[in-house]
Amino acid sequence: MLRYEAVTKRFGPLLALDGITLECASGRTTALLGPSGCGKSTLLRLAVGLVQADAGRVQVDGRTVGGATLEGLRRRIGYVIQEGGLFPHLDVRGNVTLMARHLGWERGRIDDRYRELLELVKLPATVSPRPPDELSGGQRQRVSLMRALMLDPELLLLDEPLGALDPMIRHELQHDLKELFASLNRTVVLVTHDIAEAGVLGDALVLLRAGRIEQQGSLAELLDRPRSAFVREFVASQRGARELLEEQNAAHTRMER
Amino acid sequence: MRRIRAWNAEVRSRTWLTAAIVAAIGTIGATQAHPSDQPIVVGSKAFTESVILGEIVTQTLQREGIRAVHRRALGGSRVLFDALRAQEIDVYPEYTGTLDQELLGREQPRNDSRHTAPADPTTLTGGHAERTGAARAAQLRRDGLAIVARLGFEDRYVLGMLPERAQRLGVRRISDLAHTAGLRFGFSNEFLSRADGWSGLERAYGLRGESVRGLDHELAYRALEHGDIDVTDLYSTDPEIVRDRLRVLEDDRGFFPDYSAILLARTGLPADVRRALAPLSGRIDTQTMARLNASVLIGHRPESQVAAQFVAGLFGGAVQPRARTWPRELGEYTLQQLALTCASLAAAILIGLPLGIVAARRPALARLVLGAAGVVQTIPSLALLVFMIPLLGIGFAPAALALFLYSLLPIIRGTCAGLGGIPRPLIESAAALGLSDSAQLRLIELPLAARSILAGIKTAAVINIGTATLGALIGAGGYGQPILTGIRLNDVRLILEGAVPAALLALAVQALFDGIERLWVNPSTFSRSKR
Repeated sequence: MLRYEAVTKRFGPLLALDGITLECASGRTTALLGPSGCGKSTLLRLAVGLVQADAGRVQVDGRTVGGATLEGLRRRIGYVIQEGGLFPHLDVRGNVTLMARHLGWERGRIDDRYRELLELVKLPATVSPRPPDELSGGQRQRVSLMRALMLDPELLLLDEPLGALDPMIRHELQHDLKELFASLNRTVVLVTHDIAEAGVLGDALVLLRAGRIEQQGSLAELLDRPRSAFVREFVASQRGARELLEEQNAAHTRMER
Repeated sequence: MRRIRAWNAEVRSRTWLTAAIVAAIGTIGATQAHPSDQPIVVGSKAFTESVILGEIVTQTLQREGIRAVHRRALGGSRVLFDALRAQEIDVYPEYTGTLDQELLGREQPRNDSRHTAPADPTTLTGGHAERTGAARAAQLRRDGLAIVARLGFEDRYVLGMLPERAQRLGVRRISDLAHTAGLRFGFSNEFLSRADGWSGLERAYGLRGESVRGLDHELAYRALEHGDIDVTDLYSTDPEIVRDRLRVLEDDRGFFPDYSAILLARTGLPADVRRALAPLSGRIDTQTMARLNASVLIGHRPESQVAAQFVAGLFGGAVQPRARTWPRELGEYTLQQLALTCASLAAAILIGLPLGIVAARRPALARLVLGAAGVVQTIPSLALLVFMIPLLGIGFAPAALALFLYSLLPIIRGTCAGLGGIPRPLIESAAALGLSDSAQLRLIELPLAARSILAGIKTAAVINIGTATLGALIGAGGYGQPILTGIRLNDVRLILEGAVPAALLALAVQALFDGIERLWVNPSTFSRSKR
């Protein structure tokens, strides 16, 4: 679905990506994980064509990103950034339906899809006329998700979607996102620096370090069979990952019984 | 003679004016024939006497059934002279001394005897005038110009004193000043700077200017009365000379050149126009002119009325001043002002907005465009207006072009800054949605930059309205017309008649844009936006 083949990207003297080859499986959620500056956000930005690779290629659904088809390709991708990137001059509904209106969808179709999305992200219809800056952080991210999902994209990219939220809301939205990903059954790529979050949301985890993939696999693999000292330290430095794994195992065991 | 008096107040930078004038002379194009169906255009300079004369000429032509319009108080001598050569106007009142000293650009050949021997001034001046007269006519012909009438009076520089003071000091002639100690001189700035003014006079009479200061001509009378100065330069037709019974000092060495009032016209003036103007020759003597000036300056009557009375007296028949009521005039000024501002502002938006958009995308180009527009902005408005005359003549077009140029910078800068100030995540979110470049600009970037763009347009509009009042100097009308007339006549009511509506218009425009801003830019979504 989303493939990176030997992708290299430099920003001036900084080598952001150093020959990355990676495949994000269709219908599953891949979590890109790592410390700041490891290149995880750049991977997402390459996929929507906001930056171009210096070497290698990025393919979405078998088509290389870039060139004349970029606009069409972008419409099949949903992209959510840290603080939502909502347009301040449009209200909630205006933000969400912008592309559909631009593409000339019929009003009824827009209305139906909009209502469907409100339900999906668990927002009340009363937020519709409100401008983005009258929303809470969590609401903004839900609206941003609605906007990304409006055209029913095959690929959903989320760049630190919960990064700017406080813990309570973060936990709640994390839970809702997990449900949502499960019901969507779409290819999702999520960028985070929080291993617990990656563990909750991601089917597969990819740990990056300085533009290279350090290790990929499940949460259990990263915890139990770290391939390097860096992986071990990264995992150990973050609380909650081990507990999460045990919780997941317990739930698994309960289901088995 | 008083050519720059009124607008002297406006000219702060003489250098710029000089540069503008040089450019104006250099670029005056070839002359073309005046279309016969056009009315005869009479011009006048921006001071009372010239406006009265222009009005007399216009009304004289109209009496003969000739269509004539008066572009009153257009500006200084150079503006009128260039406008005549460019066939923007057909005739205007001028003075021979101004032609010789300034406009025809040659040094007055000075006869040494005039400086030293206190001979009979009339014969000398007469002989001198005769000699330069033929040369002057030939030079005018080469420019396609001719003197069509000598009106019969002179408006020359004279020196004046309060009668009591002159009596006490025993001063009757200018040469008496040379052996009177402790005199305080106060001269108009123009007199101080002219070759035929103080510097020449000082040498010709061997005067010792112990205390010489420059002051505004209008203030000189008050300074005389107050006893702040003893001697000042006056014009021989100033009504105040009669009113204040001033002692006019005899120019016993014939220093001041001849400033006979004439009508200067294009050579191609139709025969019936020349015939109609001929009766004005020699009919206005110095006392008459001083009386006409007094009616306007002291009696506060409109020039058109004073002229109408004179013309009626000259040719017989009823006085028929055109009834010009205040509301009608105000309406006219408002229309002219609005036309100027709307046209120039609309053009500036149409050009400035795309330029700002392009500049926002290319920083190198932005520097160039903003730099160029910034340079235009630094040109004093008066100089810019004068620059326009050789290109577009006088009236609406040059004033509108100048205002257009002034309006460009704030609009380009507002657009450029507004687009450049949009947070990157928003731009990237818009791009990632799959909007085309043009849709992104239209749906996202321009609305987000709207506040800054509108602020730029608002600034441009307010500058525009303020500057547009100067358009009256080159015949574009508007609220500047009563303001300039008011300055000239020292009539506060007239100044306010232009200044108050101009200020109100500026406020109205401001309110209009505030309204647009409220409607277009949703303040709750934008002003409190955290990014």
